[in-house]
Amino acid sequence: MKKCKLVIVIMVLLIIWGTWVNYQPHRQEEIIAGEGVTEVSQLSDYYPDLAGSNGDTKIYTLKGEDEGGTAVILGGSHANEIAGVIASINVVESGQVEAGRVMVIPHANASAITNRKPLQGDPWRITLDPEDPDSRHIRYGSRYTHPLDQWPTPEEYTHVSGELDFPGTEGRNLNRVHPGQSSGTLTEQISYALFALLEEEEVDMVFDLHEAGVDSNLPNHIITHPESIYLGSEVYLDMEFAGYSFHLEQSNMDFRGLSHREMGEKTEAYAILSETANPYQGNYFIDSSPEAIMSGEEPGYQRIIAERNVIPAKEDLAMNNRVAAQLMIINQSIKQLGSFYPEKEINFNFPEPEEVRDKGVVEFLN
Amino acid sequence: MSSPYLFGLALLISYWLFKYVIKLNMELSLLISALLSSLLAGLAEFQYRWFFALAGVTDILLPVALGVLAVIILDHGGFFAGLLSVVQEKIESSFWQKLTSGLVLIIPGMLTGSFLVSALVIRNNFKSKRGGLFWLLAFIGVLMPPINIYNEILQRAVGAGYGYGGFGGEFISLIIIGIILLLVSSFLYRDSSWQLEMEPGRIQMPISLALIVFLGVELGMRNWGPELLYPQEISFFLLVLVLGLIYSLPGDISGSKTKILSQKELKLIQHRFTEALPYLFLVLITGFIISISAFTGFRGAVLFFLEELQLEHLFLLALVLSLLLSLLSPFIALAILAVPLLHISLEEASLALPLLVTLPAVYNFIKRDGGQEGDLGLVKRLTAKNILVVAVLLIIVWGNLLLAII
Repeated sequence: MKKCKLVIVIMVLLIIWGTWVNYQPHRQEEIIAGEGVTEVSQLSDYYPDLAGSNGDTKIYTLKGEDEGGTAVILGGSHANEIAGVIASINVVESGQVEAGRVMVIPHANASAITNRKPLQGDPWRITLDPEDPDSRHIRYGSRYTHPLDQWPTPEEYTHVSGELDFPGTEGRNLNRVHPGQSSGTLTEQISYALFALLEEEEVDMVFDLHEAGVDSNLPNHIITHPESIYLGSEVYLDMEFAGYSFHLEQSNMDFRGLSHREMGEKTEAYAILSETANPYQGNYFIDSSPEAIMSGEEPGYQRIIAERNVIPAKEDLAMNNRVAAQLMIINQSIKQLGSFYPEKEINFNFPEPEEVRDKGVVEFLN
Repeated sequence: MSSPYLFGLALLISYWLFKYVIKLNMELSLLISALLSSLLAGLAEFQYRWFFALAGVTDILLPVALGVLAVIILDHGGFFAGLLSVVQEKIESSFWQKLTSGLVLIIPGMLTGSFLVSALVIRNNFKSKRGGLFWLLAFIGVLMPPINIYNEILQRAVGAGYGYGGFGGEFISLIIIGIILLLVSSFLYRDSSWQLEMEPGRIQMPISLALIVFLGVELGMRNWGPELLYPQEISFFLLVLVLGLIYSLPGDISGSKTKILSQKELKLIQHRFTEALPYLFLVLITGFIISISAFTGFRGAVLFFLEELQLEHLFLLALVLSLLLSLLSPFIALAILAVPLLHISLEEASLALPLLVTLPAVYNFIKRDGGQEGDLGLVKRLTAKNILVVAVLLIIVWGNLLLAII
């Protein structure tokens, strides 16, 4: 009986501790809008039913004085693909736009930022300057909408087109449910609101910033809708000339639900998805210290790169370089948009990738 | 020595120390050794962030606790008692009745094998070889669709469930394997230690009606029910609660002294739940260990090691590890082994590996007490009959491996 009482006491303590720990990631991420931000709105402005839900999220608009095109940057469609989140926050906090308009959503799936994959050992936030524990932290979330925000999780998720079935958990994956539906799940409603935004704001170009595990075949890829492939190939060449080794692919039109496939088809925007290499997105990491997270000098994935001859180079795993690559894709794509359509030119001043590589992402945060 | 290996070593040594030298119970030994070894592995850079890495584990408490409580209530309401009494009676009789009652236990949707066995786990605490057999069938049941609370618990607790198996070749193979094991073992063991304690004065409703009601309501809620705003586990629990109360009724109607949710019943439920607490605790600690293993990099180090092995050596190692870990706990063995092994080899031998990780359950079956907590006297109990049972499974596993390699 004594043992039982001890077990009960320990379990109660664990639940109290677990509740406290679980509360931490639910606090709002602090983003300090820079001088370039002209308006802060909500995603629910495009689909009011989202208001007050955990799927609602902030939209930071950087509008120039002169007319031009409109670009949308989506960070955090998968909230654990952190370089895309940081790149979009860098733009919000340090970017300037002189002509045209850029709308940034750092946490496209705001619910996923409060979630973490169980048993993966993921941190709830990462320290951008490991030598200074009080320095800026960035939230590290999950690929999926928080299960408590979207119950129940079915055994199977059928894409809204009815053409493709996924495992049930994929119904909580924003990049599988596009274009969403107004009467659907929270994740589908987020997608629906994003499509409404693209349509109402007559967006010309949309970026969906992602990362992938080094042991997958996705890192260092630019993926576009077939209708955007010509522009994509120009961006690819620009990247090569700038020293970024990437692959270019076009959407598989049979694979429904992906942002580049659906946004490219259903909106007027050029749809581009970027993938850099996240060494903590997988099962193989053997060092999760803050230093390894930022430097990318993670022995496990460095070993995979050395042994398997995969696409990313060792230095591509460093956080600064991953964010720089994401910014490079954004910068070069927007420049190409202007060269394709001068009336849609967006004159901007975003953090330069080379500077991000050299000085670090912290330099471009407020 | 880098921290992942230090963590692994510290985990093993400290567990051994607390369990066998200080003689704490298994759950506490595991918890203390997991925390100590994570501290040791991270001494140079220890921060509270280590503990945040564990937070996801707390999510398992709700489904696990509700699942167990649901089973207790159903059991108390007479649902399982009726079903199990039928199975128990049939399984001791003719070949065909063994077969049909076995099918009741292992056929998909059967509420399912694993769910039923959960009741046995709580009820009988693995105190018989027959209990061990059902524990084994539970693991096979885990592979099967579709209503499977045990799989749900495994998925959420340790990420090692198997999801929806479908009705293809693997399903048929598993049915056949289940039947073989059932027949072989029921002929070998005729112990009568597994007895159900039927409460006096309680009249059971027809079991077929119970099955129809339960399956009908559950399937109906899944397919045609309203979109629920609260967790799936809670809706499931509410359903079970209502059914449990309904099944308490016949006793009251018949004039039995038992009343719905009387003080006595509440105490009984409380007592059963207290009995189940160690299992909940074990699930929680297993999740802790897996999380810490991932965060310290130990899991990554193990994966690298396994990946460099040839497939044949991988199976051999898995076999040895299964045996060793089953001495600790078949549940932990399943949880720890399944993740890396399935990750690496799922495409090469998808059927063989899930079967291989059921080996700890086989050994659990062999053990006299069939208990969660093993001991090193296992080898002494390896009789010819026991070896035969294992041999049957090994032939199936290695035969499948051979096919995979060919």
